Amino acid sequence: MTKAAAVLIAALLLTLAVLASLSIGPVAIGPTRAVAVIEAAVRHGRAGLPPDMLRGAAILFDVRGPRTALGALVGAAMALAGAVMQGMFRNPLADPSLVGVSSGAALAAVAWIVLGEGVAHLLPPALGALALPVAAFFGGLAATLLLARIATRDGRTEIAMTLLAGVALGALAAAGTGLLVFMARDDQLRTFLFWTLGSLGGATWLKVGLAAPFVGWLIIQTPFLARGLDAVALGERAAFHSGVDVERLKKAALLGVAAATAAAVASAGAIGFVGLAAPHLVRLSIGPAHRALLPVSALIGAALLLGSDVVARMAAAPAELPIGVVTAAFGAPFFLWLLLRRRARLFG
Amino acid sequence: MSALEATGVSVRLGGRTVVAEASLAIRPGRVTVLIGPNGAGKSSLLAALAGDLPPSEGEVALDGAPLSFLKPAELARRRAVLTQTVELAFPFTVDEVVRLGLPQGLARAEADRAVEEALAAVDLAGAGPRSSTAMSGGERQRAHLARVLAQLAAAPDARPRYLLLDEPTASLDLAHQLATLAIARRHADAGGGVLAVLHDVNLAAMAADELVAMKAGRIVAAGAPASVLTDDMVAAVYDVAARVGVAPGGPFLLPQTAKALRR
Repeated sequence: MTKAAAVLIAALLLTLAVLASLSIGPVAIGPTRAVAVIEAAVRHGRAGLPPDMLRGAAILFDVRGPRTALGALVGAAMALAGAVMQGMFRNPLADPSLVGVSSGAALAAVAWIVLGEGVAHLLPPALGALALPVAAFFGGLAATLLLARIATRDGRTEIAMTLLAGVALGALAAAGTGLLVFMARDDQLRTFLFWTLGSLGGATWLKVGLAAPFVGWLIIQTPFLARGLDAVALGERAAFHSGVDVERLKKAALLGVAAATAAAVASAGAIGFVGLAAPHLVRLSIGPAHRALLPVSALIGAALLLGSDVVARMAAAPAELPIGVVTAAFGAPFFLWLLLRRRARLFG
Repeated sequence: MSALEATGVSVRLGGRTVVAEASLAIRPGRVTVLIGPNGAGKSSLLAALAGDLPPSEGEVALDGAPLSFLKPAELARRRAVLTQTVELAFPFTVDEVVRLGLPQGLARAEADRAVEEALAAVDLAGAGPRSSTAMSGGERQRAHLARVLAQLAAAPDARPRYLLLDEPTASLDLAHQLATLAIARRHADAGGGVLAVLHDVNLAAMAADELVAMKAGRIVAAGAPASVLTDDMVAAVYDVAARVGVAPGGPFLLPQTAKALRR
């Protein structure tokens, strides 16, 4: 498959996923109808819509719109972060959880749920709803910054040290999480459990707007990262020989991934598997060169997450499955099948 | 005078001094070859000249400018390095591997030509679409040599460029060993400087304008091959008693005449 074709197919898949995410739900709004409502609203403003379109517009703009935008953002962030981590660690099994983001975010989330109760009622309701994601965001970011600090000596960040210290920090955060879970009441436990399984429910444009800059920051850096990550596949020394500022690359990759992943985890919970699988799917079809791999992974990741969310909404309607359950239940077997089928191409 | 030059360079690794007070100049138009026993510090000295290992004492300068003042991208336009083992993390094609060396912002036609010429130079013409992970060790080594050549071939100006090769012939058959050394010679003839670490003293003596022998981190002899490769030097550096012969092309050493002095 040529790279241009891959970009086109990925963009097409994402378009389909966006349309599905907008139209499918308890109230079905067909894609043509959805497009018509959006078009009318753009032309006349929402106040100027005919009465028969008002309900559709409310669902599209206030519920499914932010949900779709958040899903695309989170999926793109996870896939891109996974691809960058795999390139940086030179290991196809790496994912952002290795640098402590997920465990740090989980610790901060459970800490807020269990210990934040005392102050939660002091916040205005609008802020109260954001307290959990904001806590998770800073928890995830703090864990990675701490990790980067531990693994950097004389201005050089050691990748092996990052990996091992990441395991240690992850275990420490898990211990703290376990302790807080032990202290938690049943209702707090339930809140935390559902948070860890992930959901795009409760998406608002405010959440989209808060997550977008951090994901955007990583996306903007992809051209710089792509060239560097290609060279790093040769090893750090050879990458330096061919003109890459490896230390700058590592810092940019680590911070970019941490910020984007923390934003994704904070707004949708710890959704597994997309970050690992999306880059793999892309690598299998167009090879490992990052210039195409990074953008196509982002598109595919967004499409995968939106598709999973549609399934999560519909499988047990009117209830919603946690989206992490869907990504794992569908993705893992598919991924295994791909690995077995394309074993030779993947591992040489 | 332009040169890639180490002046009184010492390198410490893990608390041990692996290169001690080494001074060495790689000059345009000349092939300099480093020889010496395992652990003599050859690769570490090469790494210091490449800018990988900051010297604990002394200085490395590229045409007069200290290496530490140069950005990686600037350095890459003026010197290229082939290291002993390069393990690719992902199955890049040969073409992609060679392109990794090219500087950014090169015009497409120019890049294509540099890649094609580099592959032809290492006898891998037409191998571009093959997966580099499915190649033999020798082929892979040549693919990386092509990458290194492409990196320098694409440099825009006429300043001298330096080629640093760490055991470039290690996993090659005889024909490709000779071809690789011929590439080094051509680079020097075209006005570039070459430093190669070689294990085979015969290849080294044949390829070198200047032969440099190291032992225990120190440079113990340097000069024309005939003046460096002598019975006394072989005994002192390798702890081997041998009779160095002289062929029309320069000195040679037959392992059949050699005997280990002590171990």
